[in-house]
Amino acid sequence: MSGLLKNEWLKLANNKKLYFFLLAVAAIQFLPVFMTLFLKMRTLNGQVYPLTMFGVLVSFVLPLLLLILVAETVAEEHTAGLLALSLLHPVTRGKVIAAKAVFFFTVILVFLLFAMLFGYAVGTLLFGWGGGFMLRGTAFPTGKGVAITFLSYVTAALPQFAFCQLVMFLAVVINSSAAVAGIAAGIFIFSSMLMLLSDEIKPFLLTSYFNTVPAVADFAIGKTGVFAQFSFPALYALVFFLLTVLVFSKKDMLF
Amino acid sequence: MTAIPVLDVRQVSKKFWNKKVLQQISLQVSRGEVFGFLGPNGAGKTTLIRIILGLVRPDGGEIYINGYQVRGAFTRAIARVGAVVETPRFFPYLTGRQNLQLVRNLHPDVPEERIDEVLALTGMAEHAHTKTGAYSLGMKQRLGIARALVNDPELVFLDEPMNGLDPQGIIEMRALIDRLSSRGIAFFITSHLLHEVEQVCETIAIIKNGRLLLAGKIDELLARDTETVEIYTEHPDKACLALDNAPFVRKRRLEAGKLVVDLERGSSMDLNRMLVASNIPVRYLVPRKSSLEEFFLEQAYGEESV
Repeated sequence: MSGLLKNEWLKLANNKKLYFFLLAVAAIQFLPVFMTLFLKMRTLNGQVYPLTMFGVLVSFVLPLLLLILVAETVAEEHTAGLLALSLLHPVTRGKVIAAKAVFFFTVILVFLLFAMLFGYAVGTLLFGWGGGFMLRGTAFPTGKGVAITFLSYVTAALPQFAFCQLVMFLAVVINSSAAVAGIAAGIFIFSSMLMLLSDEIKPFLLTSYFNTVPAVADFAIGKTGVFAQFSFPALYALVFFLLTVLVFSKKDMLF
Repeated sequence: MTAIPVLDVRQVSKKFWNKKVLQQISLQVSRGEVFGFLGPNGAGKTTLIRIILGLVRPDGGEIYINGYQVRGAFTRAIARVGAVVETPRFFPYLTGRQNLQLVRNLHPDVPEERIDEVLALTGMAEHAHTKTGAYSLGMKQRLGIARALVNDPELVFLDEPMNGLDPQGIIEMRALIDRLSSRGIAFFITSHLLHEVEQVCETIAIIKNGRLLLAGKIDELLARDTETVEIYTEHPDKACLALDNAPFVRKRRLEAGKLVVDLERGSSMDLNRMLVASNIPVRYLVPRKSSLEEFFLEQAYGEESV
């Protein structure tokens, strides 16, 4: 499977889209600079800066970038006859899907870690490191602040990955990248709106789990178990991964 | 002891929705053999290749590659197979070399230098670092073959390999196939260029509407008990009359400015003698070689082709 994974990264590293996506992530992380300098909205420092746009990044920007990436990497490759190329070699279809899943997980981690490091760099360079880390009115020591920031970014990978698995499933069922992106965007928007309407169905919506800061911060304070927060996205990812393997294993590759 | 065929297709059938696209297809390809798979558009050629390669599931039948069943032991069966299915497809934002690297990464036992070897073999070394999005169709064909050779295959599928190649490219491709088959690599080729197939392949199979019409060695299939002679004369009608009662004439027809006669093998001298005796001035008597093209049209389209 390492060969398949290498191939996915070789393709992405040479695809301009990766750099546009990283640029989009950087642009989102840069927004608070304008808000602070021109609108004088609040005072930031290097310690809190990476989490300032975290909610926007993981709740809106990253899912949209990922659905484009998955639709292209699976559905468009399929219709262009490129997905079949891997299947002409001694690899099973299950391994091809598993490699893509691992690849998406690593891509999500790269995007998130890039966003975090870029946030620390911009925040520290423009506003200085600062005296402490404040989150939702609670002050934390610097070490704990860094840990909360790091854990929030890293744990955000799981719900994003679960969303990727849903899009991947759509991509093996539907032979059109535009349709996959459209349907996935529809599900994402509908789910995000539903979240606002009812607290009862919230625990069953994947989008409710995108912003991991509250869970990580509460865990740091000792209020709740962070693992309970991630069991639903993990289950979601597993179910859609297995469905994807099942459908793909039986699919006739006609392109 | 009989050698195991490199490809053994047994009774393969496939339906798409309710349409039977392949019906009980069986064929064998031996090691080092160049096998031509012919048929009109939509006959089921590409579907069979896709089934052999495991891309499409058959409804019935079995396929063995190097003795391994494709359905049960896919990774072993496919390990020494190379293929270009339909137009060669590449990741346009990767260079030729990077596209081959994608294949090498799936065969850990293949050394890195193999990529340079196949690039040189197909004349693509100088374009190795150009993005494939900028390649012409001919260059893509060559790179497609290079990609099919990366894993040092024993069986190579080429779907219309001459498409997009210039005359020089076609000659080089023919020489390459010749050279590789003499090293023991078997080729399974589909092509509309029947003249090329005739020059490259030893064995052919013809498929139409999902049914295998025939399979065999080209020499044996083209060998007939008749020979065809073209008669160039200013009096074709008179010649027709003269040949009406000739016992050695099987069939005659007028074709643009000439009379074409099918004779019993070895009776062309009798024909000449009869024309002279009938006082018919003849400019030329030209023996016509039986071609694969004619044979194919006859088999695939029958009377429609006349």
